[in-house]
Amino acid sequence: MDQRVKVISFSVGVIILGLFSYLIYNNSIYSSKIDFLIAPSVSTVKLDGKKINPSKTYTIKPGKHIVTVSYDGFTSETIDMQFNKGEKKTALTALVSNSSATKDWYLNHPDDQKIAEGVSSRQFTQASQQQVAQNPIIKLLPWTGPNFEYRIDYGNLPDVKGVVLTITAPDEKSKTDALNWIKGQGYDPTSFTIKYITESP
Amino acid sequence: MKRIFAKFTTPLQLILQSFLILLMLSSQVFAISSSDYLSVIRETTFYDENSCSTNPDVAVSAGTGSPTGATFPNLDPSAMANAINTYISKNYPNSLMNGLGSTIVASAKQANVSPFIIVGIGRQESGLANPNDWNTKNGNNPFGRTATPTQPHFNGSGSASSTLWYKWTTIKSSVDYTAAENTNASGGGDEASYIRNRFASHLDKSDFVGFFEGYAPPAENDTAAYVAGVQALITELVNLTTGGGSQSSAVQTSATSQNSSCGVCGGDTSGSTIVIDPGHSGTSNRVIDPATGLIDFDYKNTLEISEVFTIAKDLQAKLTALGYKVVLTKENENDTVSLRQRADIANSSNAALAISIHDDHGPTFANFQQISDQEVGSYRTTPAGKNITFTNQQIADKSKVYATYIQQARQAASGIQPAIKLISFDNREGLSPGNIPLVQLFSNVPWVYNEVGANGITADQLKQYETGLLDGIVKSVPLTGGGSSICGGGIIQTALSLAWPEPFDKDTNKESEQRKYPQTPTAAYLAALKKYNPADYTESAPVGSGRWGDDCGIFVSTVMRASGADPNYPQSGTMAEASYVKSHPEKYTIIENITSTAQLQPGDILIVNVGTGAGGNGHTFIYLGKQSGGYDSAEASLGDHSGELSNAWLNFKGGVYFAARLKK
Repeated sequence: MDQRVKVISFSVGVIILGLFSYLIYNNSIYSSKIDFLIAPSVSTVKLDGKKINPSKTYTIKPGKHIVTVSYDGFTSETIDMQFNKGEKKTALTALVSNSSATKDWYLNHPDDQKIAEGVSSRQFTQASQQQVAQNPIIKLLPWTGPNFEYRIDYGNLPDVKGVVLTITAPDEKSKTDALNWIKGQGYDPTSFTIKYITESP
Repeated sequence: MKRIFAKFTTPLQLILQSFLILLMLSSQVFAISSSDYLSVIRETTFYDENSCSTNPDVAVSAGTGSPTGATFPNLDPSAMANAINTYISKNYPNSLMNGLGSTIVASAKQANVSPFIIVGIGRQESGLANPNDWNTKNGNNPFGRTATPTQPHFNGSGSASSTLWYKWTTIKSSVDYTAAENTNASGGGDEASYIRNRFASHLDKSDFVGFFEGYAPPAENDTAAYVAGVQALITELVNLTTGGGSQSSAVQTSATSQNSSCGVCGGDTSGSTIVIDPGHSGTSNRVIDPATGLIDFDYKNTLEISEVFTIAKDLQAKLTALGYKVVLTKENENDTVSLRQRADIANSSNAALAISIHDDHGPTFANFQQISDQEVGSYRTTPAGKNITFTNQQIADKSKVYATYIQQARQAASGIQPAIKLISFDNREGLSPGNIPLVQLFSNVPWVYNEVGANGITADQLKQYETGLLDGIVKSVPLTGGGSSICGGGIIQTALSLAWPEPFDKDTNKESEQRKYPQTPTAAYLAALKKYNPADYTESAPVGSGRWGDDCGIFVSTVMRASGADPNYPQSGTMAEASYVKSHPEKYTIIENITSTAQLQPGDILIVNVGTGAGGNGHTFIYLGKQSGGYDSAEASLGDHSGELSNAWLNFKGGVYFAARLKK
């Protein structure tokens, strides 16, 4: 092997080693992943201001990222997302029509209609699990007090962020007993939005 | 690898190859092809324990063990019992173990042991309880089990006269963990409990050689041949259970049999009325029962009458909230109601289950937890000496099953296993002698009688008692929800039988042996999908396409169709489903603006859709009421996950849910 071949072989080795090191470094820094479920699927999607292809999965750095989605005739949306190291998340949104021209857009695009439904049901799942994680009392509900004195349920109101407890009780004493039961489970009733129904459960 | 490099001789080729390898190594995203997905489903071995059972005696659920392993297998318990009975009757017609399949399976489940091992040992040791076998003849011991001096035993003969052999009173007792002689028996009572007690570490690892080197030591046996014989029999019994096939075909067999025999739903067909009988009357009441001549006597037992009435009222409230119809045998704590009247209340209610609740302040709590079922042959004796005997085998069978469920639930709640045994009323002043409470004797519905005792019973202990009773009732008589059913299960029971029992853990992307991907359907759901919703099922579709039943509308539709509640329910699409239920007021009551579970009843369908025109943008799920694990809803999500239990979330961007309640 002459000197030229030796030099070339050494150089190639260095290049390969460098590439390998770069890929390892890259994988350790860009350890989070994001994919997208967007309707309409032809929307313009930007990740941190850079236009991307929402049908692909992107490897990103952990931390905060912003996804913007826009399409003519629909209300644009901005999604703030926080990623932990190694975490994979899906950016979900189904844009809502804001003009008569796009009123029946989903009707005429059945594939996108399905995506929109998928977005909705995934949001249900995410929100449900998050809600239970933040308010484990939900796992105990509905709870009926002794002798049907009161009943405690849960739910949500459109204008209230987070869970809303419903206490069905015929009188003040029963309401107080219901609140005491909540306290007895280790929760502060004042931390909840509570809706009262004054009747027997 | 060396051969691959050998093909490339130039530096350029080497560089290209290095790139390729590096690219392969750095790739972290692996697409899941539909063929991969299919293989996952086909290789998944699971059995839906809520599916229809062919043998009412086997009231146990499937295990998690391998079909040919040493722990209780993931196979249909009823099918296992039938396979054992078939095998014995065909190959050992004189066996005294004939017909004990369900008993063997139930005890094996209790001990988490393969029932096939029990049969295998019986075959090796005694020709499956051949009547001429020494141990069978002298000690009802088909398993060659030895004994310690403190255990029930008999002596061997001849040169083995110093050997003590375990002795049971009947062959059935040898495989029946509920037999009185086995309760709390030192070293384990029935055979399954015994081998679990002695060889747990080997069983859990399916280490047959280690297990049998202990059970049938090489010094006395040809252990290798013993192991081979038992394992060959296990394989034969597995094939009999599954219809003859491999592990993967067992799944197919299970699904197919569900389709062909009774659909894919399950559940109790007897209704959901529960009668709760809090013990004792407010005044002493002694009458002669005109129908039988027995002494019908009850009295006020202070403390007990109050404590058990409180429990009864609590249970009534909780069961009612879950959707049961609950009838108490007395309205007020101090009402006087004869034992005949109590039985009549349950009979006229056509109750699925009646339970009596008693407690006692005498014995210690640990020593007195008791349950009594209705056993054929149990009796009470009139003052004239006539025996009045319980004879209803069908009710006795159900009562025994429910007693076992309640026993398990009470044990889970208190940590102490109540004994299931008859109660003696002999030599009790003023009472007709015998061994069955009059309420049970007079009843023609399944009735489970409960006692708990303690010196100074505490509120916590009473609460444990109540919790155990509640869980036992719910397990015994699952809610069936609204609507009729092909095979007895209604909306709720069908949803429970089709959905995974908990959400897929997406935070950790946790995979389980049974559910590799969140979109993986249960075997029962897959079977239901093929049968009831074929238009929305595509076997060749990629994962996440919503063509595997991973869609909210398809899941709800499949439940409604499979349960028989509404065979015409639209196959998919929340818009179509919303439109359908609203346009059929003869079938559905619509409750608008749902924002709380307080507005719901178990079995309600929740729908929201904010799409314009026919544009679907919404969600639908089924509210089940509180279920195991604290979940209250069942739903799927398009492209995201298959049917699974979850908790309701009643918020929706731009819209509000409404509920569709099937009219009865």
